[in-house]
Parts: sequence; structure tokens; C-alpha cells
Amino acid sequence: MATQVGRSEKPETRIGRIIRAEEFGVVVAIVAVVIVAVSLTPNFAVGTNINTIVQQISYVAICAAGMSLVVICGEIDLSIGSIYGLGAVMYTWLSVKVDLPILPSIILTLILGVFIGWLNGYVSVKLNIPSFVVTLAGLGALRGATLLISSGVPIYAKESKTFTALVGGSFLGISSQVFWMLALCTIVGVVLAKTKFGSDLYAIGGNKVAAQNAGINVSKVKIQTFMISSFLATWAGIMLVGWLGSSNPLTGQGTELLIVGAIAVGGASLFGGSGTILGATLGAFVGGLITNVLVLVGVNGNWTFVANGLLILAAVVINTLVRQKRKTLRT
Amino acid sequence: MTTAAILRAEGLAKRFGGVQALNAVDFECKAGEVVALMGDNGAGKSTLIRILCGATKPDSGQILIDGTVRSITRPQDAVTNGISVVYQDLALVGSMDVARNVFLGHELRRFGFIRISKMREEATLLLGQLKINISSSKLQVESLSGGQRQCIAIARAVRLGSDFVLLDEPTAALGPEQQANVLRIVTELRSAGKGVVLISHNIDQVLAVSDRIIVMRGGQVAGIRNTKETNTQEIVSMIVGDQSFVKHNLKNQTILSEGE
Repeated sequence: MATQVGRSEKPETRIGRIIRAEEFGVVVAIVAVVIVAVSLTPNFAVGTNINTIVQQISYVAICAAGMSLVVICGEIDLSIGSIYGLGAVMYTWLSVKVDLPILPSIILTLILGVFIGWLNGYVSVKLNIPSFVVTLAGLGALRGATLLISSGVPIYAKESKTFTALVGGSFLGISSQVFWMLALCTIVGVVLAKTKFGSDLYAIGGNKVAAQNAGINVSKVKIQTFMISSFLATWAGIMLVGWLGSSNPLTGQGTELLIVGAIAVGGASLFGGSGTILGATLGAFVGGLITNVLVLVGVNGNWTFVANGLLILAAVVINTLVRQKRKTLRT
Repeated sequence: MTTAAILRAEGLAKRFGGVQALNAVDFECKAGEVVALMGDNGAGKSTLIRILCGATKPDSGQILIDGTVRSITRPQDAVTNGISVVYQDLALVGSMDVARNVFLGHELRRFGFIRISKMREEATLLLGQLKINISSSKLQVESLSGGQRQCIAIARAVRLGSDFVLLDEPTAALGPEQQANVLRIVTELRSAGKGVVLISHNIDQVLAVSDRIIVMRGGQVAGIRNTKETNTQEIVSMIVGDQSFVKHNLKNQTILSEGE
């Protein structure tokens, strides 16, 4: 019985596979932005600028890696920027104002981050309230908490060798944040692509009922993604203090847009079921590069918000069109 | 895995509000047997299936495998007792490939990492054993036809080592060729020694593949027939519950088709 052969069952060529890869679009976008950047400004392709760009991008990339997990299983965390900001402020508050040693301050801050993630996840999943509503509330509440803790002013970080060694220094002219980004994104990427947990996320995002029927504990897995995402965002906030030497109560304001943008540009569906960490990391580069180019060219800084907004829209529109096209090709 | 030979249910009853969905229903399916469940909408077929697979709790009655009473109160209990139910759209993730779907929730792992190539290998082998024609286990399920998807959903149940596979209208919404393919898988399951419970509205199909037909009406068993010893007219009359009405209609049908 050799009657059922689907139309798309032709063996794929290597070029076809590359073009079809979820990250193809984002790589094209990066190449395009770099070409424009190099032709517009001679200061772009300078070693120090490249290190600065990557360093700036590292925070968004780490947050985007974590939130990719949330997005792939069909949820979203809009409070991620506020969590990132709270991480920075909480760490400096604990280490400076409460005068705790560095490591306990870091650990307590991370525990708080994980707890916030659990709360976001628990309320969304267990009470069945859309996560964008729950985390939108979190966005506001956590920002308020951050302002209250810091009394609305920057807190300067405590001098500490331990802290500098962890997140402040550089190696071979490359900032430690870049290494953290590479390490964390790789770990999250491997977990997503190679473990049962990662597979469960794609299953939940692709067909929640099927995942449930297959014995996957959907609620538990979803809440875990919120916790991981929040953990990484908190850590990114602590890392930021290592770079800037202080925390600012407005840190992370609007960062949720950059993070959502990175994930969308990276080829993930914001409706769940698809996406990769490599894509999200590269997506963070697209946003970061555009911002950097606009700054170097001397455009009014507010244009970066416009550019990022348009970038998200373009990414979502293109993703949707590509998916629809694939679907019509199949049927 | 269990090596059960007989799945039995005794005195199953279930009431939903004012409706007695099932009333003192006895049921039996042996290994290597295809039992068809027929009946009008609301006859109680789906409630019976849902009780057997742990999705609905009966008000009374018990489920026995090889004469031993089993407590099946959750879908997971059914799976551990070797019973699985196949709902095509509720079993597969379209955006994942064939192998990942066959192993969904039960992925092969080594040191915590998924063994995707091993899963593809085994999935290909399993599809081959069931004579399911899909060129590669790397294909995304959403690119396959409805019939192929139904076959993969069935393969998943087999992979779980189920002794009894419950199919709720597996050929509804499929084209004739795909229906034939699914029915062929049903007979493959029987040859592999599985007990198959098949809900269907299609009498021709039921007569073609089943060994026994259980007709339900109003939440009760209206009749049980060996497929070889019955015919369309008898089954229809049991489903409708009115002998003269059926005879009348069949007569009219014959006149109509002769007149065409």
C-alpha cells in the first residue's frame, strides 16, 4: 500500500534546509544591518564598539533566552523588564543598604527572582488567567517595588573583588558579560533542544491537550519556565550592576519590548510551539545593532523606540506570512 | 507490561444530571479481537469508552482485566493497565516530527538527553511493522494527511505497549482511501494480538473489520452479534430499536435504488 505520500516528502537539499531554518531570517537581518552600519559610519567596525555592542546585547540576550522557554510553551512574561530592574536594585540594596556580604546578596536576589517567576506562573496557570494580564500587573507592581526599595535614586555598588571577578572584569579584551551570555544561552539552548523538558515545551506550545494526554504535567512545566525566565532576568540585572557599578531604579523600563522583539525576530511564534535560543540570541543582536547604529549616526535617541517597535511588527508579520505560506504549500 | 487477554466491564452505570447515560452495561473485549461499538448519538458509546480509558468515573460497576478488578480512575491508570484510547487531534502535536510524536511524553533518553536518532530509528521500525506508509519519521506531522495522522496516533498507542486500543470514530472525516488505510491498521493490530474497540457509524466498515458488534441504545446494550452471523438490516434495527420501521425503510430504499 504505497498510496499515501505527502507532497512535502521530497528529500531536502542543504540550501533548502538552510533557508527553511527558523534562524534564516534573523541572520539575513543581521547581515543587512551590519552592511548598512559599516557604510554609514566608520566607527561601527571598531573593536571597542563591537565589544560594547555585544556587552549591551548580553543582558537582553540572557533575558530573551529565558523568556523563549515561556513563549515556546504558549505564555508570555511582560514583567521581565521589571524583574531585570528589580534584580539590579535588590542586589545593591541588600549588599549596600542592608550591608549583607556579596554572595548572600546575590543568592537572596536570585531566590526572590525565582519566587516572582513562580508567582507569575502559578497565578497564570493554576488560576487560568492569561499570562499577559498577570505579568502586565507584575510589570507595574514590580517597577513600583523597585522605586520604593531604591527610594527612586541610584544605589552605588559595594567595592568587591568577588563581585568584580564574577561579573565586572574582562578577559582577552572581552567583557565578562559576554562570556556569561555565551555560557547561559548555550546551556538554555541545549536544555531546550536536547532534553525532555525542552521537548515538553514544544509539545505544550504546539498542542496543549495532546501534551496533557501524553502524560506531560503541563501546569508544572509552564510554572518552571516562568521561574527559569525570572531567574535569568534577575541574574542579568545583577550582571548589569557589575558593569555600571550602580543600580538605577529605572533599569529595565521598556526592556520587555526589546526581549519580546528579540524572540519574535529570532523566528519564534508568539503563539507558542516554535522558536530556538540561537534565534532569540541573534534576534537580540538585531535590536542591539540597530540601536547602536542609530546612536552612532547621531539620530535622536527616541527613534530607537520607534525602530524597535517597527522591528517587532515586521518580525511578527513576516513570521505569520511565512507560516501561512508553508501551510498553503502543504495542503 | 501486562499480558492481559480479556478486558471486561461489569454493571457500568453513569448518570449526568437527569440523563442516565449508561445503565448496567456489561462489556468484553478479548486480545486479538476487534469489537465494534455501534449506536445512535447519545446511546452511551462514548461514555463507555471514556470510562474504560479513565476519563470518566462510573457511578457503579467495575473494570476487570483477566478477571482481576482494576482501579482506573485517571487516564494514566488506563495506560498502566495496558489500555489506551486514540483521539487523532488530541494525541498529536502538528509542529513536531513523526518520531517525536510517536514517543511524545515517553522520549528515549541517555544521561538526560533525548536520543533523537534512536527515536527516529525505532519509529521507522514501528511504522514499518504496522505497514504505515510514511517516507520519513523526520516529517512534521502537520504536513501529513488525516489518515496518516490517525495511523501515527494508533502507532503511539501501540508503542506504549497497550494490549487494548480504543478507537473513537477513527475514520470520521477521512477520505475513502485513508479510511481503508486506517481499517487496515485495525486488522494489523488484531494480528499483533491487540484487543481493539472501535466506535463507528459506518456499518459497512464495521461488518468488514470487526469480529463482534455491540449495539447500544439509550445507555444499555441493545444486542451483541458475531459479525459473521449478522447483516446490515439486523444491526440497523437494533440501533433504531424498531423492527417494522427499519423493514419499511429498507424496502423504500430498495425501491428507490431500483427506480434510479
